[in-house]
Amino acid sequence: MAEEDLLQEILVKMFQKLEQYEVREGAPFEHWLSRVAVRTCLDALRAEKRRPETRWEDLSEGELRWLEFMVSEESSVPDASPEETREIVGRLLAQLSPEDRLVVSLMDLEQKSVAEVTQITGWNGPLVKIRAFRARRKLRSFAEKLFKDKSL
Amino acid sequence: MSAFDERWQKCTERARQGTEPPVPELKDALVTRVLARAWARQSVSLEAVWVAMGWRTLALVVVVLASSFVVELRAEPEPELDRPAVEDIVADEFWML
Repeated sequence: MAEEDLLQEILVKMFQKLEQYEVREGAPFEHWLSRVAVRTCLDALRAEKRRPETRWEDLSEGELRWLEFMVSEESSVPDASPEETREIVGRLLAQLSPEDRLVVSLMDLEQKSVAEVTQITGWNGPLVKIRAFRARRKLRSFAEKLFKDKSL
Repeated sequence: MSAFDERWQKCTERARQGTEPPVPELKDALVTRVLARAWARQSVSLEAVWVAMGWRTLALVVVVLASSFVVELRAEPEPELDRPAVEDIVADEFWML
């Protein structure tokens, strides 16, 4: 689903569920709306199901250096551009489930705290921490698997 | 934090640098479409209302009938009248003639 379609869906849901929003202490409208948006986006991602498969040959030089840096212990920090870095980050995140991708994106890319993620998603603190931990572990296994493809 | 996590954080730190990808512009028709869809979803067909209300009405009737039946069962039986039966009165009147 395109970004504009998603935005449209979120706004439609916002208007429809507006009556369900109750003004409570510590729960501003923005948080309520962000939860509606998160649910809508997660539903859309789940509906897609198909995850793009990344192969070693698809990676650019900068992406390959980052991959090697992540899985091997001796290499130095690559000097790849932010754009190339965003590419490899996006490729690895695309292998995760929608929930895992969301929590890692919020915490590691947007630098949100656990408290902020709980407000945005509605998940409790321990759940956010566990999801982030497991998601990073999956990222590691995806990176290692991709790196092994090189030697095949 | 594991070695991978540290390296992953360095990777995301680099990804945050540089220019962000541009945010796509919203088209003017979006507001119109949102309002139209929100309105369309809110309007309920007459048939759906009839079905919903019909079932509720039926349920209400059943409850009322059941309640009245229970009340009727619990009510004390009406005491029998001490008056003589009608046919006895007619017979007495006949012999009086």
